[in-house]
Amino acid sequence: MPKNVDESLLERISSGDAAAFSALYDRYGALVYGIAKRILRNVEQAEDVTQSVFLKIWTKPPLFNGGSFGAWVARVARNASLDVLRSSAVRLREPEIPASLAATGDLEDVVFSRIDREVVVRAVRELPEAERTVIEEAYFGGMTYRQVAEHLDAPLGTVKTRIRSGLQRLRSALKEAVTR
Amino acid sequence: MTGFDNHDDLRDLAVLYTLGALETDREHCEELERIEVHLRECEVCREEVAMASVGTAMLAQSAAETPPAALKARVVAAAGAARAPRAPTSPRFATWGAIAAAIVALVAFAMLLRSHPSEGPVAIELHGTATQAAGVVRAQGDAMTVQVEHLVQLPPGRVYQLWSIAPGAKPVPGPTFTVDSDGRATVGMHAPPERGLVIAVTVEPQGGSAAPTTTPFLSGKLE
Repeated sequence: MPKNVDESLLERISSGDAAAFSALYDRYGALVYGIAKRILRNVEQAEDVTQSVFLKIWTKPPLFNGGSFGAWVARVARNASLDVLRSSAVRLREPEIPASLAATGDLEDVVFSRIDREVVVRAVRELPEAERTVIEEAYFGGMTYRQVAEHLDAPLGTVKTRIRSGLQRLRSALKEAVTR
Repeated sequence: MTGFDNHDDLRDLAVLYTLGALETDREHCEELERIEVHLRECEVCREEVAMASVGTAMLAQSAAETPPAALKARVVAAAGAARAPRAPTSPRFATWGAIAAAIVALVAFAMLLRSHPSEGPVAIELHGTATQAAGVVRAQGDAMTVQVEHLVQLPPGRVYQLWSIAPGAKPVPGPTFTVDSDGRATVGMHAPPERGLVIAVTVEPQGGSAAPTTTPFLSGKLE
């Protein structure tokens, strides 16, 4: 199971196993770099964030405390990128979603490890534009839903509804792809 | 509006929380804290988080992009130069480890005491050796934000690089960066905030170096 592969690699990394670190990079380097590049729109900064995220994993593997490693490292990469984007020392209260809350069977691991990336890209691309715009502005633009509403000059309720609907649609697309 | 008139409002907050679309500024994160409390007691909203987690994972994965091949070599080299994770230790060493951790925590606390209320904790001031270049490092735990100013624009193929140097240890490579037209940059990096830690800046070839190839022109020490 891929989930066990990640846990096994992290256990080896905890013992200083450089080969395990290299293998973990091979599994998640594209995810971390891709998120950073999408947020920062700058190759050099994306590379710096990628290095910073993996060094964090190397020096402090216990920071990951269960659940989907892919989901966790994606959050770390997003937060690190937004820190650079915001270019400020404002202390933020980043949510730490407990692994127990995000447990959805293996669906998150399916997304990160067991399904063709093209299926995921297509699902996002095929979202209604209004839904894709709000969730991408929030996630990759680092905007709160209030900022998205202001930016798009849309009512708060509309933005909330579109975000929920878009995320539901993405999960449905995944389930459909898995059962096909 | 930050009131919560009905459960649908909370359900929506659970989705926004999962996507990362709630205010995270510590002074205005009422909704974030409200939903975290609510999730402890509401199975319906926990299921919303589970649904939104999958959608958010899809969104994140849609951005995945193969990084430049040279980046892996750089990351692995940086890991090799950084302090490796500690292997399991004997009880005696575990005790010393606990003491060391307590010292690090005390240093971090001391840094917090030095903090400026509106700007975050100031850990290290950086001073140039022969230029007007200057900077400041703000830290929270080992997450550091380095702000520099009065740096010159470098020619193509050269970048600035940050280094963290623990007492008696080799320099650990940090991120590379360039400066804007005003000679300023803000860069994030990680380093354990131990007493005597030096943060330095050098000029390096594009992509950065595993060890400094030039003399630091800007540096500061955590006292």
